[in-house]
Amino acid sequence: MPRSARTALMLAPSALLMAVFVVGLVRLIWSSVVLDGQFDLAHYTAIFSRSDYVAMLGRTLRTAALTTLFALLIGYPTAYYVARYRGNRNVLLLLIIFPWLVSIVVRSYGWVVILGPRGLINSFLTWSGLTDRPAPLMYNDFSVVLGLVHVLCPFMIIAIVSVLMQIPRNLEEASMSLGGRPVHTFATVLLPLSLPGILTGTTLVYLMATGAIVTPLLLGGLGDTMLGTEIFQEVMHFFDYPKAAALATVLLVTALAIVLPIQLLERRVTRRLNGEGAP
Amino acid sequence: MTSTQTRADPILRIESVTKSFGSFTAVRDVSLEVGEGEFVTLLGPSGCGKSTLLRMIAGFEQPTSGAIRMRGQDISQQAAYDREIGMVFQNLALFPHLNVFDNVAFGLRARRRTEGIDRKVREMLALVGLEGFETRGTAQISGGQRQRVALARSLVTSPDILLLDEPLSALDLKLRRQLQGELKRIQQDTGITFIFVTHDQEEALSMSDRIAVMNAGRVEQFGSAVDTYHRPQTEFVARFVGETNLLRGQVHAADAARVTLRLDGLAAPVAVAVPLPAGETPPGQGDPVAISVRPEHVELGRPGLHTCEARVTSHSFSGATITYALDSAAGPLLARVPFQPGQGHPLPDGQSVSAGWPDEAVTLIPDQPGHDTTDKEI
Repeated sequence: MPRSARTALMLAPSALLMAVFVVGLVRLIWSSVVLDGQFDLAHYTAIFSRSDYVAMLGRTLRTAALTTLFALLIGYPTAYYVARYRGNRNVLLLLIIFPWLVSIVVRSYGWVVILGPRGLINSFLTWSGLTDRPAPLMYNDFSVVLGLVHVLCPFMIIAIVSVLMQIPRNLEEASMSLGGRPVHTFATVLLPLSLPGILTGTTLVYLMATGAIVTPLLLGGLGDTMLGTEIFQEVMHFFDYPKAAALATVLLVTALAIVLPIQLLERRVTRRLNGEGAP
Repeated sequence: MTSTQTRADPILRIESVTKSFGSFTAVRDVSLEVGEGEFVTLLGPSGCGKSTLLRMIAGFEQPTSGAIRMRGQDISQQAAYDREIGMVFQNLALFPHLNVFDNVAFGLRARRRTEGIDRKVREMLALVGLEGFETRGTAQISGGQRQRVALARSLVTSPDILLLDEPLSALDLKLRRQLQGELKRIQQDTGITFIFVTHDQEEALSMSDRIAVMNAGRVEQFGSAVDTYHRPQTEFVARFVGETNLLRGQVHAADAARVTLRLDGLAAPVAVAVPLPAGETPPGQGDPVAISVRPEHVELGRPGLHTCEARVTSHSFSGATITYALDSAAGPLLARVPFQPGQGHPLPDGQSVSAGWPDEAVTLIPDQPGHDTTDKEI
C-alpha cells in the first residue's frame, strides 16, 4: 500500500469525527440565525432584550471565572507538592484522578449531603445551638462554585503538574544560591516557567465551568440558573431548539473571546521559555 | 587523614559534619578548613559524599550533626539565600526563560543591588569572554558559552565562596582543558575562594591548591596536589589519584629517619628503604605495611637500582612514554619509561628485566586495621 494511502486510512476515523463536529456546529449556528427559512437575528434579540438572560450570561461568566480562580489557588500548591514529592508520585496522581471514577452526578450530590438544610453542617449547627434555623449554604452561587471547583480542580492540577515536573529542581536552588528568597524565586523562576501549565489548566477549567450543566442543576438555586443548564432545559423540556442554538452560540462566542487570547499568549510564552532569547 | 593546615585565616570551617538520609550516611564526621582565596577540590568517586558536602555548604541540605562555620559564625541553620555563597551546578541550571544578560543580572536583582547593574553585568561578561552575547537565549549559545554564563552569573554578586559541582563534566576533553585554565585564571584574578567538586583526578591535580580526597563519606586525605600524588596516606588515595604499584610487606627495621621493609613474595628478603616524613612515629618491627610506587618511578635495567627480577607481559605505547606490565615475585608491576627511538624499546614480551626504584619514590602506607577503604559502605 502506498504511503499516502496508509496515512489517509489512519487519519480517516478522526477526519470523520471532525467532519461530524464541523457539520453539527455549522447546523447549530445556522438554526440560530434562521426564522421561517429567512435569515433573522430574532432569537438573539429575544435573548438580549430579556434582562434575566443577560443576568444569566453574566452569572455564568462570573461563576466560571471564580471557579477557575479558586481551582488555580487550590491547584497550584497541590501541583507543586506532587511535582516535588520525593516518594511515589504516581500514588498521589492516582488520588487526584480517583474522583473521576465516580459519576459527576454522585460527586455533586455529595455536596447536598454536606451543605443541605438537613446536611452535615446544618445538623451540627442546629444541634449545637449556634443557629436556630439552617444556614443557606446551598442553592446559591457559593455552592455552585464550590461544587465546580471540586469537580474541575483535578484538570488544573494535572495540567500544572505536567509542566512543573519538567522544571529542574536545580533552577530553584540556583535562584536561592543567588540570594533569591522564596517569594522572589516563585515570582521570577517558578511562575514564569510554569505559565504554560497555568494557561492550559485555566483554559480547561474555564471552558468546562461555562458549559457545566449537572453541578449548577443540583447545587444552584432555581432562580439563578447558568447558561449550560438553561440550554439543557430548553432542549429537554421545552424543545425550543432555535433558542437553545442561539444560547449555545452566545456561550461559544463568549468562551472563545476569553480562550483565544489565552491560547495566543501560551504560544508566545512557550516559545520564550525554550531559551530562544528575549530582548 | 592528615591534620588540616591553613594558609590564611579559615573562611570556612567544617566541624565533624555528618549527614544521614534515613539509614544511609552520605557524609561521616568530616572536618575541613578552607583558607581565604584558596582553590580547594573535593575529589572522589561518585557516591563518596562530595556533592552532599557541597550542598550542605551551599545550604540546600542541613547537617545531621556537626557545624559549618563561615568566618567563625555557625551558618549550618542559615537559609541558602542568606549565605554569601555562589554555586555553579553540574547541569548549569541556567534560567531558560531569561537571556544571557538577565541570567547574569539575576543575583544582583534578587539581592536588590541594582545600582550600576548594566555595568557590572557587562564587566562580568567581559571577564568570561562573552561580550556581545547579552541578548542571546540560553539555547542559542554553545555548551562552553553556557558554562561561562553560569560562571558569570554566580560571580557577579562577588560571593565569599564559590562552589562548583562538576561543572565541566559534560564538555569534551579539549574544551574542558581550556576551561580548566580559564577557571583557574578567574579564581586568581577575583581572589574568591573556590570549592570545586570532581571525580577527575587530573582535573583536581592541575587546578587545586589543596585536595580533599573523599571515600565512603570520609575525607581520606587533605593536602596539596603534590602531596596527594606523591605522599598518599591511604591505599584508597594511592589507587584513586593516578596509577600506582601497591606492594605489601613487613617492617624489617625502623628508626626515626627511615624504615626498611621485607616485601611479600620475594624469595630472598629484599630490603626497601623508605624515608619517613619528619615528625611521624616509625612503625614497629614486623608490622604489616604497604608501599606505593608510581609507575614512572619504576626503572628497568638500571645498574645499581635493583629491587627484583621481572618479566615483561605486555606494553602500551603512548607517544612520549611506554608503559610495561610486568610480572615479578612481589606481584604485578607497572613501569612507565620515557620513549626514545633507538634505545631498545619496546622490550619484547617475555623479556626478563631488572626492576627497581629510588628510595625517595616510595611512599609508606600504614596498614589501617578496621578502616574499610572500599566502597562497600555505600
